[in-house]
Amino acid sequence: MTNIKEDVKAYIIEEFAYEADVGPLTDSTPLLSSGIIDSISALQLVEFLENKYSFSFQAHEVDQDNLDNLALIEAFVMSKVSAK
Amino acid sequence: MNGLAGNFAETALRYPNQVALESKAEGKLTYRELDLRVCEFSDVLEGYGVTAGDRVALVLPKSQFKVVVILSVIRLGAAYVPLDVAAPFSRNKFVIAEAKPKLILAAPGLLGTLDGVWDEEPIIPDEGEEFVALIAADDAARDELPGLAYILFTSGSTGKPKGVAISEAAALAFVSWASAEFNLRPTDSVASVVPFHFDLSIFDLHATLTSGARLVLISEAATKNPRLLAGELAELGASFLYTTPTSLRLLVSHGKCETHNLTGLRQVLYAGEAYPVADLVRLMETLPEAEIANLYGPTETNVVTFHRLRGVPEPGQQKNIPIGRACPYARLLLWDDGPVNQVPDAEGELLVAGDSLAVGYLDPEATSRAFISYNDERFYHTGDLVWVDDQENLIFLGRKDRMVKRRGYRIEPAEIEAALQLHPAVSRAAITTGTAKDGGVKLVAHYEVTSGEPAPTKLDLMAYCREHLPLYMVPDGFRQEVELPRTSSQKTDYATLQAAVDEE
Repeated sequence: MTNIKEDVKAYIIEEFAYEADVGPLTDSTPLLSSGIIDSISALQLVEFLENKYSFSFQAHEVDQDNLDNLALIEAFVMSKVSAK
Repeated sequence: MNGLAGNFAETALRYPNQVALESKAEGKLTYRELDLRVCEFSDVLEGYGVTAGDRVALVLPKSQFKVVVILSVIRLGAAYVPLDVAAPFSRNKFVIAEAKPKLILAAPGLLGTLDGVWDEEPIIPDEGEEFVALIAADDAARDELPGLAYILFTSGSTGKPKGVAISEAAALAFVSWASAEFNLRPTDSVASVVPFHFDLSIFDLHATLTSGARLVLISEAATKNPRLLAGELAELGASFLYTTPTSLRLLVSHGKCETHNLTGLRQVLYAGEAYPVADLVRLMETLPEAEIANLYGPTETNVVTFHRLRGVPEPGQQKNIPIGRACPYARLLLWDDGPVNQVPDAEGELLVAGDSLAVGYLDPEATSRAFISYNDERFYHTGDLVWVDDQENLIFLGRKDRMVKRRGYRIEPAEIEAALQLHPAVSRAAITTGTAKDGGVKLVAHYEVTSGEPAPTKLDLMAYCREHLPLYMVPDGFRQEVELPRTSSQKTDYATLQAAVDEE
């Protein structure tokens, strides 16, 4: 659980063929609003997170506010997991 | 009063207490209430000087008010021009300059997107209204009567969108047929998923509201999030759904449909692109109660062929689901340097004539290129290559030109290239296509960097494209090339470029 950002980063690089010359993928690199991840890939990411950390997104939580960068994703996953 | 507006008014008289419109955000509106609002708003439009033959541009989010506006515009014999409110400023600026509307109705929150598009001072109506109005000074276009019902814009090969002008009679040909063919009844609820600037919405709006059925406006959030969509379809009791394969595939793969009761969905119609057979099988398994039909037709002709799916197709056995046979109002012609007999195994470009044909493009030159006269009839060159199977169904083979369909939208790669070439650091650009991981179309932009300019990063180019193109046109990948291949006549050699991409 300590390495959510690293896990998600590895997943994005592997799954969405994130190319290094786009620029470094930092905690604050915008993912959805930049187009690095399109809306369809975002749904895949949601399912990855659900399976990996054993929680469920509410339909309305599938949103840019929770998914737009690694820091937001980590914060969201932490809040969901600790609320369980 | 005849046509779409007359049929709506008659329907409202016949079913005054039926619900005409419903959405989660705005609740319900009966036919009587909707008709009253349409009559009132027609007066408002007349007050702004709108008469038959005028055009009215709409910069409004999807809402009950937008439906009222559309019906009011048609009632006056004017044409509505729905803009994509999410499209970049430069594109909408072009669309308004082309359409030359008499009046623009904009949501107050969207007025900023029109800065510099329109010089006139906006008219702000009473507080609490959902719109501001902008009136053209003098150069508004007027159409000969009977005028148009609506104008929709599609991607153009010259790098600029093309306005397709549709008459009320043409819209009515499709709407009347579709309502009868799919037995749309007052007990039905039609889910409106696609935006009103997309031609699939003609069925949603006009077939529904001339049949006494209920039009369910799906929220903007749900159109982007299949989990919310599945919930809204179930909650609002949708029985009809007409959308793109992309949207249906996402609903099936990510909508968690098994957690909702979707057994009320009795008819699913799809159009806009091919549906991969394996995915179609999954759709049928997810919605076993629903009848499914494939509709086909470009914006210029509306729907002209259809195919009802009977039984589950076997993956692998059939390459493509047929686009089917002609609608009764359409006449089809296969063309290969001349007419080709429409017999099994014949192949050619599909030409279409009949009552549903558009009047033409706003640009007369584009009209004369695409619409031809043959045997005293006006035919539209679809640019689509088709093949006739042994059941005399038409099968879509591909495009004659470079156009591709992505998420149901037509894309002329030249329009993306033209946009990229406006970037100061890009001297030339060429688009190739491939298959994305999800089975859809993947767009890759190849570009040469202007000498003396620093090479842009991919993120820069992606952001630039998002500023200048609709989202569905933004390429998935960007590749810098030292030099793009050229043909002997110094044109971009797409064949060589595409072959290199295909090999990887």
